[in-house]
Amino acid sequence: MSERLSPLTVIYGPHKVASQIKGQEVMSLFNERGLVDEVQMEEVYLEQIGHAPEVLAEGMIGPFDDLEAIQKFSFSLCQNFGNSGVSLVSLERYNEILSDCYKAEDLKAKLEAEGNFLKNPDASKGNFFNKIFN
Amino acid sequence: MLNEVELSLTTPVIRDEDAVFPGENWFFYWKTSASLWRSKLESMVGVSKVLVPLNWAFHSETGDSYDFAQEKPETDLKKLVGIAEEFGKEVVFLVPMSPCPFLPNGGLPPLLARTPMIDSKGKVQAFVDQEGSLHKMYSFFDPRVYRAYGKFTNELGSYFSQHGLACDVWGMDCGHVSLNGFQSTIKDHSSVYEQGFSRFLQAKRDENPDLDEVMTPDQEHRFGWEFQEVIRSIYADSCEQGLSGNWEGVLRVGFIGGSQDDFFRRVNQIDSIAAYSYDLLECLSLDALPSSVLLPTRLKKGVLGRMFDQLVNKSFSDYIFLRSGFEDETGVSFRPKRFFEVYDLRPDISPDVAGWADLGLWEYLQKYYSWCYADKGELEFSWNEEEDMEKIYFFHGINMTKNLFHNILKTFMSGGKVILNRSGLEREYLKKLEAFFLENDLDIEKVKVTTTLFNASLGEGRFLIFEGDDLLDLEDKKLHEFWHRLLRTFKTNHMMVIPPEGVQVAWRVRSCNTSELTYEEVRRLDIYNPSSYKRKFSFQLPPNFRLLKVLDEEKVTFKHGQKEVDIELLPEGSLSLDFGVFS
Repeated sequence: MSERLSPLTVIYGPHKVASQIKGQEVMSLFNERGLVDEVQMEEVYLEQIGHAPEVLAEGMIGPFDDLEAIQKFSFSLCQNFGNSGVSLVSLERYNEILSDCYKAEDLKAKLEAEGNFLKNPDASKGNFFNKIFN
Repeated sequence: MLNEVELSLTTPVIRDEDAVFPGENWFFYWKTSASLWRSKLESMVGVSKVLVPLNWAFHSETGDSYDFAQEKPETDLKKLVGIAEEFGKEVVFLVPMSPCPFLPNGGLPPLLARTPMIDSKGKVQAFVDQEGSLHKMYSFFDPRVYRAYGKFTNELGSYFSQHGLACDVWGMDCGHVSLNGFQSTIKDHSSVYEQGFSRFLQAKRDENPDLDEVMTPDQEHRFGWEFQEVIRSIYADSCEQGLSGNWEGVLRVGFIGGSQDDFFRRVNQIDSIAAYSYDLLECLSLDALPSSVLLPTRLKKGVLGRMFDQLVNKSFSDYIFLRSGFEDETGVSFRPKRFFEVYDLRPDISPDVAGWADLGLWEYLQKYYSWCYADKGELEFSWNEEEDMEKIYFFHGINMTKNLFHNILKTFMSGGKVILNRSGLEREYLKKLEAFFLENDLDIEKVKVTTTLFNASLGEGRFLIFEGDDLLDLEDKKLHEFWHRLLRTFKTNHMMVIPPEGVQVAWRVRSCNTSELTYEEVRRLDIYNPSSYKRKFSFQLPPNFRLLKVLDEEKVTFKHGQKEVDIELLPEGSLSLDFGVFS
């Protein structure tokens, strides 16, 4: 039986170049195993965007034209991993939520509850990455 | 998989003892009643040094008025020191010089916690402590904070001198390890940082009208580092002035479980023992005191606990706090074994310049010399006649200054071994080097191994120069081969033990006691399996290594013959082996 993984969480915000906003970027992308590995993100990014990312580190990738492109990217990753869904939280909202929380478990619950949640209907079927990495 | 993940299904209940003694002989005096200090300190059996971090906010709510035993009995540090002394223990105070990950508001008095610290992307910075509480950090770049800090250190210094407290006080630069080495928690990009930085840049422009209004990323990087150092020096100077009689210097403290990756895992209530054990060893190589203060107690009972106990409590702490007289006072104590001391690029140098990681050095050393090196990172090298001249020193030519140049030559002339990457070395220094070799009538050997190597010898000293940029396009395998061939010429007398994935090994060393005089030194090999898999491996014993003792065996099967050692470690297994070593 495939293990049903908890949601991915994505914190996104403006992609700045010399103080000017040039699209959006993923600032932290994580699941219960921590920040997602850059190699796994890069593969999905290349497939979707068609060129190498300018920002690439553990849990961090960009730029994207808009929020919709981030949603598409995150959902593809979520399908690859077999996560139950993905919760997208803006940088501003993340900072507000963090400021209001005093326990780690509350932060996790609020990020999942208050983010823009995209459910992965295929979560329980398993997937390629999940079989390899988990 | 490398990491072992453990799921905590319930909110842990913290025992009073764990809250007061969070690890590595630290004592949180504010977490218990002063009337219990005596019984608590008495219970610290076999501990000679008690590390006491000072909780600024506990002594002042405003940063303006201070309580040292006037109101709360738990602020009576004199009493604390007196009790410790009754039990033959020495108190070492640690005064935070950057936000403290284990304290609410990073340890700032509530009225001063005004500007949340943010990272370069704009995320508010926070840490998860051993109880699962979130501690948000506040900026130390706020002028109100560093002004109040000056008052705090003055008040503390006056209190110490009035009460005749002669304890050592260290400045604690809190941080954690990352891929880029030690990351101090002082780093910030908040609005107060930006305002201060703008003022700093304006002052620079006033000093130098040729500076462009719009900076290049390299200039901004360099000035950003300079500004951070200016603010850091304000805190260090405050300590030095306020606590002059007690001041010992700045100590890096690496909080295990404090990285961004750990933060997001811990928000999910997951801990990775494999990641923590790696970070602990990385801290040691960075000369940062590892601290388990942020970690839940349940994690410290198995292999991770043994690593902290053996490598930190019983070895590294003494090495740090007794450094000046470490060998003489405690002849039988183990200290980290280090063959190499590596100085990387200065932080003001553009990140585009190739550092040791780009030249494959770290990967090579980690694989073949498991943690037997000191990663000095951005620190400045200074020659010291008491330094161990058996070590091999690595420098980048691009870092060269007049001072560094002289220190490198002194090292070489005193019998030290120097490896210099000449890429980026200014012509002026190349000429000076040539002149130095000529004046001293030194023969220079020239060998072509991927790049041209220039080698000079003077007594025990060696000076090897190569062009790092020639290595940049090499594959990992070729880089390993290069370093292997190069370092083999230094005859390090090392027994290479390459552990399987997930297993960590560390080497320590001590001088011989009277019954071991057949050997030059005794080396201890500590082997740990923080993974959740059984691991098996063997290694060859060189003829000049004699196995003396097998100790601290936990979940391990060990066999050895004349020439070979076979080890099978269960998950969380560990053991230590002592070897007598001769030439």
